[in-house]
Amino acid sequence: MNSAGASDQIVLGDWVASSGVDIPTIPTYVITNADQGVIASFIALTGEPVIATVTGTSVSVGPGPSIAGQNDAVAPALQAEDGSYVGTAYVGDDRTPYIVAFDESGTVRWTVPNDEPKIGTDDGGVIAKSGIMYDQNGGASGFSVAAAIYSWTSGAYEIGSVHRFPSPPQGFALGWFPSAGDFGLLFASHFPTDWRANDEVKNDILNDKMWAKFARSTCASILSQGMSALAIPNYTLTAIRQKERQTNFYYLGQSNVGALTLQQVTGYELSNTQTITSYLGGANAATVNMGATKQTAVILKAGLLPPLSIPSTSHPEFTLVHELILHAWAAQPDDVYFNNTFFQQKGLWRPDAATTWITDWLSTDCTCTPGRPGTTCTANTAKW
Amino acid sequence: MTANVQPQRNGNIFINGQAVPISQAAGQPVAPQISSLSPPSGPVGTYVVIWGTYYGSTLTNTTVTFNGIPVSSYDYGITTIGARVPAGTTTGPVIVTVAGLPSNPLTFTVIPTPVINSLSTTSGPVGTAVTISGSLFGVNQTTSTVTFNGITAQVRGWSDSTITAVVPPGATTGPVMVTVGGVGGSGPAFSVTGASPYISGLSPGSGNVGTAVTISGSKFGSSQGTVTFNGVAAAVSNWTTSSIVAAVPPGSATGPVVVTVSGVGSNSVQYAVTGPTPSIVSVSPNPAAPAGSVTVTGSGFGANQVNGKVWLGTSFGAVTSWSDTQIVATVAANATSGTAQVQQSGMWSNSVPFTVNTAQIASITPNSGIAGTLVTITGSGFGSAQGSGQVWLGTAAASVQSWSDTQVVATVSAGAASGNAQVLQNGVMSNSVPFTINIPHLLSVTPGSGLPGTSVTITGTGFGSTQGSGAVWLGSTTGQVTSWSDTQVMASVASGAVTGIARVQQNGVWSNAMAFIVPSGDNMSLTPNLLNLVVGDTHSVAAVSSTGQAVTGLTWTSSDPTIVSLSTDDPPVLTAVAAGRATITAGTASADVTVFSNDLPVGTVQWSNAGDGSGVDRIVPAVPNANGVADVFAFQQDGTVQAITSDGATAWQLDATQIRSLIPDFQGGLVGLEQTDSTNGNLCALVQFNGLTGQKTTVYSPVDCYPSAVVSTDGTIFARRMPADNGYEYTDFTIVGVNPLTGNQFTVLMAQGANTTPLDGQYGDFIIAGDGYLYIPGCTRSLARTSTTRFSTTGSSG
Repeated sequence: MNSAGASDQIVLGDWVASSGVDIPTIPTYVITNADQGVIASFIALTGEPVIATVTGTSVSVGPGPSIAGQNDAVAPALQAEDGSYVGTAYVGDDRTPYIVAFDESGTVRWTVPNDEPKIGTDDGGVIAKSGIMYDQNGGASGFSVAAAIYSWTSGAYEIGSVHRFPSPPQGFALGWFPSAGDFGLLFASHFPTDWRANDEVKNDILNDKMWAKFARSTCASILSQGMSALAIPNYTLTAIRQKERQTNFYYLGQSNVGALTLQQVTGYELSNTQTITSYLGGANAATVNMGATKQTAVILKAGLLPPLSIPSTSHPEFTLVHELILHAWAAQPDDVYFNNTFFQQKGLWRPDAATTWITDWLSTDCTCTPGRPGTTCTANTAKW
Repeated sequence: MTANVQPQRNGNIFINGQAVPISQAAGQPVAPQISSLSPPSGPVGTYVVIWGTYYGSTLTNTTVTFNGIPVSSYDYGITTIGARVPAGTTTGPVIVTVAGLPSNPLTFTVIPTPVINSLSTTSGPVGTAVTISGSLFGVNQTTSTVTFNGITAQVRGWSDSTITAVVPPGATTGPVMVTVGGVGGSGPAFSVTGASPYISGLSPGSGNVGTAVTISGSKFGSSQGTVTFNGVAAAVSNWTTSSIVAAVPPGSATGPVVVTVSGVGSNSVQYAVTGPTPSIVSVSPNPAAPAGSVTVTGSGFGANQVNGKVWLGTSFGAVTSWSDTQIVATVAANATSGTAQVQQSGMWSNSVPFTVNTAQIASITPNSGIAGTLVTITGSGFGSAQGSGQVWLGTAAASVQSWSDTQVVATVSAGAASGNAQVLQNGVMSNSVPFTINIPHLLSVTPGSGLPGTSVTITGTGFGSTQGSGAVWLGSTTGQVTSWSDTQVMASVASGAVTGIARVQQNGVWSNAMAFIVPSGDNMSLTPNLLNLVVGDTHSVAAVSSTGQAVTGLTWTSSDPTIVSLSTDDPPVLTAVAAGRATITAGTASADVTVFSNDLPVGTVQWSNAGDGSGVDRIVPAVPNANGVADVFAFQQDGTVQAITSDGATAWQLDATQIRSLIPDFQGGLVGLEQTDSTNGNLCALVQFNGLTGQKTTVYSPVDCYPSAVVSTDGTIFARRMPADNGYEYTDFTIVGVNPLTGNQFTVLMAQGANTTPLDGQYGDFIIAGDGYLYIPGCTRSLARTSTTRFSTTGSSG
């Protein structure tokens, strides 16, 4: 059923029972299959596990994951970054929980007893309910923050009062449903999230400490006045930080990220199926779907984030502030800033078509543009 | 006539047992009386029996009308009149008039006959989507159907004038019919093109591999196609247009049989594969090593593996050879002890206990300690060298000093908290043994509030058997200790204390903290009430009332400005100046701030928000949005829900005591089902809470309190509309969709069709998938034939 009320009834299985036979219940576990539809896991009346893959109104039915002694169908809990699934089965009379990793064809990849899946990680593994981390082959590799609840901004929380911990070192899987119960929301997210990039940008680079310094900077003052001059209302650092929370960063230095499409990273606000790698081209960063109310994505080239490999981007905060304030929030293209006399008066200079001159100007705390003839101006001198 | 006359008070007399009005008995004319219509409804042309009395003795002076339209002929009896509903009749009264005297009216409901005007296409193969245009189809499908020459079709869309249906497997050329309320209306013929095989039956319906199965049906074609049993191709020995004989193929399992002709698949019919059950006699070696080779002997394994599997311990083994009586396989590297079982053609063998030699801890000495404590772990299977092995003592990896197959020596790491000791080797965790880190840890504070002088009992672990240098913090200062043990401390609230936290210190180490309220007139608190900062950090703190409202105009102080300084803002911004600890006070509340020189130690909280003091049951992440401020929502034990920002402030709170299934929406707020009738636990209203303010808005009512509502990414909220009888009625499972942002609203009646009803309790949890659609798993059943019941599991989507 979609948001317009159009619906279809899709038959996944059909059985005939003899007269007088009680009709049994058939618990059916459904989980998203990225943005392609769903899979449903259930035990057929004839006793065998079944996986039904629903794409649009089409259904493909095949054998489901089967392990020795299972009582019920494997209930898929999350979808891993490679598109396979990790779920829970209960085994034996004592209903011992098993983590069962399986693919769309129902083939069991690995199992682990006495545990349940919680969050898929970006190395293909799983953080389990016990806190044990398992690798992509089901081997235990250590412990994560036990019993933590993670927010969309990668904050790790623990119940007691409400305790917040630094985010865990392990990145979460890229996907639409990487967490069991999808962070308690019971729905798949409308876009795949690059958790590690978000964590690194929001918690390590554009974090409280940086914004506290930025608030006292020359740039903060100039941008504030400049935004007013451009008739962009409501410029405050609070608003910028709010936009930062709802902006998703995608780092092409991560596997699988570059193949995402503009449609996917904007939650279908855009219909463009171009990959973000293609969209970024040779740029350092690009913002998709600009504006305070939009589902904005900021794409970052490989090497931009630490560990650094590109000397010219050894200060990613300037590029990130450029994308976040000037594009994600203010929703203006670079030309608007270059052509604005107020910013020009404040030292913004453009000798050629490159747009990184704005980043360079920001890196001087908005005082001058490095390379401008007749001036002494050094990049990366801003202290925020 | 012999009459046994008995006077009646109501004016009737009885003649031969039948009540007759006194006037008629006296020979005066009496108006006829209609008692019932059978059937009471139907389309034009329906033959209706009108039951009643006093219809007179002749036909000549009798007329019958349906909503004013007279019938031209009818059958007559003393107590019945039979007549067909005349053309042009609409719903209205039936009246019998005898000798000019009209009867009482009784309503006959005319069921309109659906009219098919056109088909979007009049020919095509099975699977073609056909749009049927016409009228009187009804707004919703409910129990209505579409058939193609008698074969029921799947319906994709239904309105009063348009239906979209899919040409079903088995359909042949013939008329399309729409049936509404049991009344069918035929339309143009639809010509089914191409091969569209249809299976009507299997004989036998079950059997082992090799069984010859006769598949009956139609349109199999004269040229042989393919037959699959649960996806495995079968050998065909006979093929005609209406019958196929195929052998159950090796490797097949119970599942659907499908005939495919020229690339077009038939409907599927289940076939149960039976046969010799695999049986294990022995497993050797047992115990076995992880990644070691084992031999499983027995019978019925099948001559070839095909899709056979062998389960060893807690995982499938990797098969290296397979015969009907012997399997050789390698134990999975991460397998642990469990059972050995063989699966063939979907059937499992008996299970045999199977032991995998993994690391096992026998003892740990000592079983408690602090950072740096040297711990000796003895046992087996640790591996002769550490390799990738790790040791966990409490909640952190320990520093290994020595390693052998039977003994590991390691030291407790800084930041570890109490937990288990476990040895990790080759990707497998050993058994776990409790290991206690001797740092104080609070479990409860009773009471959680109290005026100065109140005696407070704190329970937990690691307090130390005697107080020694230990201390207790209650509110904003140390309490007066009255008793002390390792698991319980009693202390009284000090004079001058204000609301803050409770915690215990022992050996210079502070425990975790819990909220402690010192009652005052305003009962305000600071959020967060506990902060751990690194020198140079800044952080905001807010004062809030007991109802979650911001309190301003307070005087803020730091107990040590050289450690934590305050800005002049209201509320102020804290700056961590130097390592140490300071108490921030404002009005009748306080916050505890600890400043570290470098990074926070592992396991140290950044901040703590005590909530409203009743205790936090659940934390649910908020969806980041420009219209919301929360990072998480904290569900309190007293039913309050607080919006907590990423820096620990309480932005707003709401009373959720009457609200169930409260979930975040995509606007930064919450959506829930609010119970509106205390006498009917199912009656709810769909409510939404604004992400910026927490203000409640009712968006639809009434809805069923079960199942939980879900929210689509575009803001549409889906819930189950309350059935008409306000009860638990499965035949009225209607979904309501409401989008408060656009005002769009619609309803969809679930899973209806000819003789089809949902099974009780068979609709599962709603899910919004990554494609943006709502999916609802469910089961329906339909009476397909006299002695059988058809049922299916379905999912609804768009």
